Amino acid sequence: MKLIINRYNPENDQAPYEQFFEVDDALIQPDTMLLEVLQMVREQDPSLGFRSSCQEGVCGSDGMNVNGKNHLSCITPVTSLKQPIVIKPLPGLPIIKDLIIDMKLFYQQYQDVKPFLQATPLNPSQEHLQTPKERAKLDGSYECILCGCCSTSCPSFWWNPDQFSGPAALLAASRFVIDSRDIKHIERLKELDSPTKTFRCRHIQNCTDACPKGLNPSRAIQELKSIMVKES
Amino acid sequence: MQLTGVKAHIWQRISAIYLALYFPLLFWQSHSINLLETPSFKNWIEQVFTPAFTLASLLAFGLLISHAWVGLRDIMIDYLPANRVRFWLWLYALFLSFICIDVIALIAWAVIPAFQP
Ligand code: SF4
Ligand code: SF4
Ligand code: FES
Repeated sequence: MKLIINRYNPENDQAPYEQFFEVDDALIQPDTMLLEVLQMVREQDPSLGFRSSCQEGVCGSDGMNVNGKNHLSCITPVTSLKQPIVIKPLPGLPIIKDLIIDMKLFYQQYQDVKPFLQATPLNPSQEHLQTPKERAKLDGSYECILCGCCSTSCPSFWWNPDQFSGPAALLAASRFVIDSRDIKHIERLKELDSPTKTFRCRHIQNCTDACPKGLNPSRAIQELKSIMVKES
Repeated sequence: MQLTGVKAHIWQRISAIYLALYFPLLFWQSHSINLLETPSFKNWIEQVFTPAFTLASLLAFGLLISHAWVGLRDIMIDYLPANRVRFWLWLYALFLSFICIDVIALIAWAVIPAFQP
């Protein structure tokens, strides 16, 4: 199995460069995931840097650009990939080392949409109640694992990661805007109403295409926009 | 960048719908007129710009300017270096204002006299 991996160590390298690796095909099973192959590569070259943790598509730490598309390596079967497999860090954010990127701006955007429930004071004898229908509205938006595959595939986010919230943050924003228990609905919409935030989204849908959890941030942003139009 | 995101978005939609209706109407108004007898600007103005259509055209012009402002403003915010984008937006607003002044001048000096007996 042939791989071309982007390498970059800011201490020694002027610019990122590509390095060729080969892994013995006998080690590859039909269900081998890309992350396992990267671990084999790291046995050949222990200096290779990439993040991973849960190894089952839950923690969101191993987003990377594989053959031009963002993926979570731990749930990407290698047999589905064209060879040589070209692996780069997620695009649009600064590289710390090899496949590890600096997610500071991504998290900052997430933090800025206040991704937590702002509800009435909790009555300890019962929780904040919701009908099953109200709860069902949140399906498709709470499952986000913040892997960043969407925002780093979004051209609007590439141009202005410091200004445009990006699909992941906007998906989170919409999740709280539509939550029946949240009481800061109006304030949230006001904060999102800026030429550089929600309305930088052009609905190119790269985000939806990239999301390894099958979520649809583009549709959530579209809904957010129509709520804003209705309530303005 | 005076407009907020949502207001700009709404104006963009309203103006797009209006202009999509206006231009076929302008074509319709123009295609049937007879310029062959006395081809002149005055003749064209008189035949195309009935009072109702003049009002519709002024509205179309206003909406065209607002559509252009939001459209190019968004592209500029996306693609120009962030530190100079305000300057370029200001220059663009100035450019659109000049177009408005030009059109007002055209109406004052050419269109209104064309209606004089
Ligand atoms: S749909 Fe919007 S958020 Fe998603 S990639 Fe396109 S511009 Fe970005
Ligand atoms: S929406 Fe999907 S791609 Fe984006 S951060 Fe969440 S899980 Fe990752
Ligand atoms: S290692 Fe946790 S999502 Fe891949």
